[in-house]
Amino acid sequence: MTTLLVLLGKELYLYGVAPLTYVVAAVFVGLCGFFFYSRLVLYTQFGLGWNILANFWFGFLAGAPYSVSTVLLLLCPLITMRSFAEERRSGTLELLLTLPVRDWQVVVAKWLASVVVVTLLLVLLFPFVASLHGLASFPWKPAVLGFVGLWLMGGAFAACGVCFSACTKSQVVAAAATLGLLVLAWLVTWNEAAASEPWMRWLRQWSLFDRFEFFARGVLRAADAAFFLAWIFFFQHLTWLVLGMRRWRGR
Amino acid sequence: MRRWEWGLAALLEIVAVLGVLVLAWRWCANQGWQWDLTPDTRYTLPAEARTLLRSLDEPLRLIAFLRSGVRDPAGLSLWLPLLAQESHWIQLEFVDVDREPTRARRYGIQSAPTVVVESSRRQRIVYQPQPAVLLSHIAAAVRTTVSQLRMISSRATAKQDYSRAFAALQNEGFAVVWADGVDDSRLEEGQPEPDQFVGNEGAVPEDRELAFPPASLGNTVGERVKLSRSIGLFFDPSDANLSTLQAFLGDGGGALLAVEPTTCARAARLCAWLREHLGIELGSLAIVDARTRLAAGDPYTILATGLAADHPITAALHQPVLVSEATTVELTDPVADSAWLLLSAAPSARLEKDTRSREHSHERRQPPFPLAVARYTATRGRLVVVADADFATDRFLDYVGNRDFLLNVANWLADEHTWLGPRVAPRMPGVQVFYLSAAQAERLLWGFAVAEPAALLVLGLLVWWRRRS
Repeated sequence: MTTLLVLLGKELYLYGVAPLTYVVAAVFVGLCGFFFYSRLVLYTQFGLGWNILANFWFGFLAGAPYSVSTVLLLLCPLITMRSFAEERRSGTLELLLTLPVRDWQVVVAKWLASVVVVTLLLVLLFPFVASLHGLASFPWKPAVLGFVGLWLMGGAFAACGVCFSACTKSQVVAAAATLGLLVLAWLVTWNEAAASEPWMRWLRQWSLFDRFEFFARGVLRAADAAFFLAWIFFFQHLTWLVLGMRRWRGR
Repeated sequence: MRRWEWGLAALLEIVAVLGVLVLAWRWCANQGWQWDLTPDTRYTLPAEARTLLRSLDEPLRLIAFLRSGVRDPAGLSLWLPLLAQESHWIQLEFVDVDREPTRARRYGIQSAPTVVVESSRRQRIVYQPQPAVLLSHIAAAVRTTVSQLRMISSRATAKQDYSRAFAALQNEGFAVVWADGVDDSRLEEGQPEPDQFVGNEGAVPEDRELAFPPASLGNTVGERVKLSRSIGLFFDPSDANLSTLQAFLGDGGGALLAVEPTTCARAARLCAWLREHLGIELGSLAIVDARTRLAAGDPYTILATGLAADHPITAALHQPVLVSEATTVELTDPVADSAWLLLSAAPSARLEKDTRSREHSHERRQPPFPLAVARYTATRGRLVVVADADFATDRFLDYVGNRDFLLNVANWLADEHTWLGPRVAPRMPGVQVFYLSAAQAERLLWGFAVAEPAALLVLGLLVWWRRRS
């Protein structure tokens, strides 16, 4: 446990001193702030007399493409791309792995560090919630659940990003591959005419968007939470296997 | 271990892990564990609905007609499967109207989303379906008894379609004559009859099969208070009708007149009558306000922030009143203790020509612009005139202080002073309104889209500079 915490501390320090982290945070908050403003104006304008704030929260958290989830999807690869790729490129990964640490500890520490960054990004949005609550009271439980869903999904994005980062030396390749997979998993069901109904029903079960949708609507379903946890565990396991490849590849 | 052996082992491990995870996930899904945190638990079927669906003893087909590539705003794909899970007799099918237009035509589908409910006995087509409405159709399709139907309908949010102002007044124990929608001929004959309440304009859409018998709300007219919302479209300010109104006020009655001369030419006659008989002058210029208007909205929908502190109707209000296309209203012979200005527009407001021409006024008049007045008549009749016909409509009633203002007006007219004050906002499913003024929206934009990211960038620059040095 101590080893894990030491590794986590080191990863968090690296995130803290990297200007990229602040740029990503600024872009994240800026885009979310703009979507927050524009969606609020939109729903206030066209939602007169209807469930404005509930619809607003769903739209703000999940309504692609102008939503927090989309911004998180686009920026998460930038957070995770350097976790292994940079260490591989600079040669410090070999040094790290020769220390008395286990592979899984390295993998979990890097993933946890990126989850902490994702959590901080989401915390930066709490002034949005507070200011809106100052303007009008609204049921806070669905909104909070939406953020919990975002956090779980951010963890899943991070697990995927860390895995791709472990596969390559190039940060750009890692980010591009992560983005490709996440966008595909997010939008796989966007065109319901692209497949037959049974096939679409099957695909819908695997779509990140469809799994997150209930969170954003204020419904916690065990199946959705389990999906994200399974996704995280699978990619963490895959990352661990990728690290283990060096034993038979000899590098 | 050789490379291919290691690769094979890794591949098998991945498949095994994936298999275990999928099994665990599907097991969770099959348990159906779900916690609905929405205030009206809208994604959970009520017990009555479950009872109904589980009592089905014959096949029932639900065919949902949707459009491809368009996320269904009614959320059909989310809650229809919930219905189907409750009974093995329900067959659920989603049909894309763009891919299968012939099938849509065969069912006579006019628009999407639409659900066809088909049993061995009946077929019903439900346009723009909502859960409660669809359930009532399901009940009807399998000839469920009327008592079950009522039980289900009681959960419906269709109250929105009725005049919420009327319901709010009913809740306060008022008997109301609401001139809107009352047949003009009835007015000409004298008093409108007790059961002639029709509701607000367009209150009940034609495609809804929801009856609203006035008797069910105890709609009998008492002498204590009568309210009349008068706009030219419905209230004909004929001599006979105005005489009726005058006689009513002369008997000590109370009346609320919501008059909007900026949008209703027929109101001119009523305005002339008010000026002549009651000394109340309505202006012809619309009030606009760029600061308190709805964010990105038209400048005619504004907040009346000036609340008179010397009158019980407005003294107890905590929030402003939202009005739209309002004009000014003033007292030509202000008499202390018998006439009051109740509401006025914010200091940032100004006057414009009218809402049709949208031309700017050359009138130099400065704020405040009064929007509502209250006065006693010589015979202690009570009258409140609001220079806006929108504030009490279903569209506006739940915004800011509109409901409190309307109820306070009604209570003052009824001489019920102990009932004047702000009230706890009612929690009605589906009605969760929110008002954002242009100034507030501007602050949000600058605060969250500019200031907060800029602060983060500065922090990043400091970190970079510190590491560099």
